[in-house]
Amino acid sequence: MSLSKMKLSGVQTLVVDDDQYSTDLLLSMLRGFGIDQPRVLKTAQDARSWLQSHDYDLVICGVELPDAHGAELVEFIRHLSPPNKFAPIIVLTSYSNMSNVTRVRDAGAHIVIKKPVSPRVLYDRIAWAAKSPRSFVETHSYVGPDRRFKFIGPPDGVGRRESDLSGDIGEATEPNLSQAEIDALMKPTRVVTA
Amino acid sequence: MKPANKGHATVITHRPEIRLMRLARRKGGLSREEAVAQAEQYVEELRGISMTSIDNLIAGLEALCAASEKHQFIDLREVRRRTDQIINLAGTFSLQTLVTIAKMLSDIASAFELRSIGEIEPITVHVSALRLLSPSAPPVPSQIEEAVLGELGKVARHFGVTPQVEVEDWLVEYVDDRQKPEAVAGSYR
Repeated sequence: MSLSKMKLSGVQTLVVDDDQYSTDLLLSMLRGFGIDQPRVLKTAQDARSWLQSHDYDLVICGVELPDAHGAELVEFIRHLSPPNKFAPIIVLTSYSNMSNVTRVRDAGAHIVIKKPVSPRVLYDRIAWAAKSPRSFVETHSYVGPDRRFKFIGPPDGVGRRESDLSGDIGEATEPNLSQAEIDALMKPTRVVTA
Repeated sequence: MKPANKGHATVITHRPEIRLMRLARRKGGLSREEAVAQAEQYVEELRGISMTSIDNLIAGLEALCAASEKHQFIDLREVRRRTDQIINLAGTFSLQTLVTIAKMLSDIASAFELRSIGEIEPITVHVSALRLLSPSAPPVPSQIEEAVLGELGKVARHFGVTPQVEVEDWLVEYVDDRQKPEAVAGSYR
């Protein structure tokens, strides 16, 4: 899918962060992208209540909220009904909280961005969420976007999904592919910023 | 929906409709360049108020230090919180030296918190450095900036504090749930 332009007006966006300075900068960026009137809430509890009765297309939240860790809010959203359940979630982490990033990922966040956020990085991440279809995974311990992105096979080389190939693949019947041919097949999905 | 079971718990994978994808595809809108340029312009409009905010945050840190000298206790979590805000604001407007000092202060505060160190002077000296290089302070020659950073580096070394290993922002993409994220070597620059 080609997306030379994106229309973000009308995209219902929820921002959850109690850091006023950060929020002011973020709202300026979103306004520049055409996202009009995002809803801003300061606590996880406010967000939980609000999300019960309002639908959102994009959620951006801080990693350290006054009443909860951002991961807890992400987990809560992943157990709501659609469309909120599937909404792309971008988590913003500050310098002193970077060690918490794995926790946020495992709660079901789509993207983690380190502050300070530049308009270019934020736009590219939103564009990536908007144009790269991504499987959704539901297990007893995880609900969220598929975390497998690198084409290096399943964890342990064994795999836990039906789609994971067996390690026993038999003898090659044709010449090996060149690296260029392999790269062409893989088509990495990672966003590359200019 | 596709359930998969390899003798473990059931894993269901599916491709739900993401409303953001549908909305972004509508006709019209902005190109990347247009959107980013517009956003940068709106952010730039906040420069003045952001510089004032940095000054206020430094004043808040000074007040914390002053209060702590009386009580022999400093709220390190609050120091980290305010320092994070300075890093965010100063980083947005490319005040690199201020960002570097704020990161050093954040690392000292984190280390002290972790090791239950109650010394206040190392915090105070970083806050003084922030004030020296604050947006409202007179410009400082680069040699002085380097000297300040050098002295603060000595404080960090004295307490065995090293720069936090900074992870790059990433698109949650790790294949192994137990694998640590990749990181670049810790550095303030």
